[in-house]
Amino acid sequence: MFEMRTGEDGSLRLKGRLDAAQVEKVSAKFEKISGPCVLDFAELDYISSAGLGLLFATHKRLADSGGRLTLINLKPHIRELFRIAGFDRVFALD
Amino acid sequence: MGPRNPGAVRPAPHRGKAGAGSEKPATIGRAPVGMTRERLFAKRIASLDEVFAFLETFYAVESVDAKTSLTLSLAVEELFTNLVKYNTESHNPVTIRIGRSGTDVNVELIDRDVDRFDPSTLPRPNIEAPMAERNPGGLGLYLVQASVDKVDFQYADRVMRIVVVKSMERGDV
Repeated sequence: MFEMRTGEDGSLRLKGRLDAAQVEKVSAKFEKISGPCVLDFAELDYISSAGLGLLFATHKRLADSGGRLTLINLKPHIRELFRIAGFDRVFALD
Repeated sequence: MGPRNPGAVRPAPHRGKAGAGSEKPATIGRAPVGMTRERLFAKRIASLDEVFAFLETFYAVESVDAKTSLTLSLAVEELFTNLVKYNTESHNPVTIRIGRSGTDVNVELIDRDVDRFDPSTLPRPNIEAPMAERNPGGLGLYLVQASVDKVDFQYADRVMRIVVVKSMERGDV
């Protein structure tokens, strides 16, 4: 299960698992993200290449119009996955 | 397991019913790896929830540590979704077996009556490339190969067999 909600600070808080099945369900929500955006990963437990691909496509779309995604509070195993994928050089990770 | 005609060049189509609670003790390949579990899953992305539930039951029973279980779940998802995307000529369910041998956890995915697909021919993603030149395609298999201790692709008699081995972290066993 995957959930995404807007926090009090305006960040988008991701929760649960962002796997290939969930990506099929939530892609449309990511297409609505505009401008600079902070994604809070504190409650995200799992992500696969499908989820990474969705984040990458969103980040690339925003970058084309001067925006960007900033990812915060990544759990160690998810941060490690970003490093292996080389995405630690693509995204701003705080 | 579905019926097979020993005289046929091609294995008979698999007749098992996916998601029908077909768990049973099994062995992985010919190696005596002890008790394993096996189940059939319909070859579609929507099966992933059932796949994860199956794996997590095994992790709990066998006390598989969190890091190993996360790595194996990622590997199984990436490989299963590859079968869904590329082995489209058959709609037979995919068999997933999982077992433990000492500190090693072994997972096997079996896809029957499919054409040869050699994942090693897929282009390796250039993780050094700048964003404008990057394409996330091929990332899944790269993550699998970088995360597990062994991944082996076998193909014979129109059956694709993928074996993954991940050793549990020392001290977490």
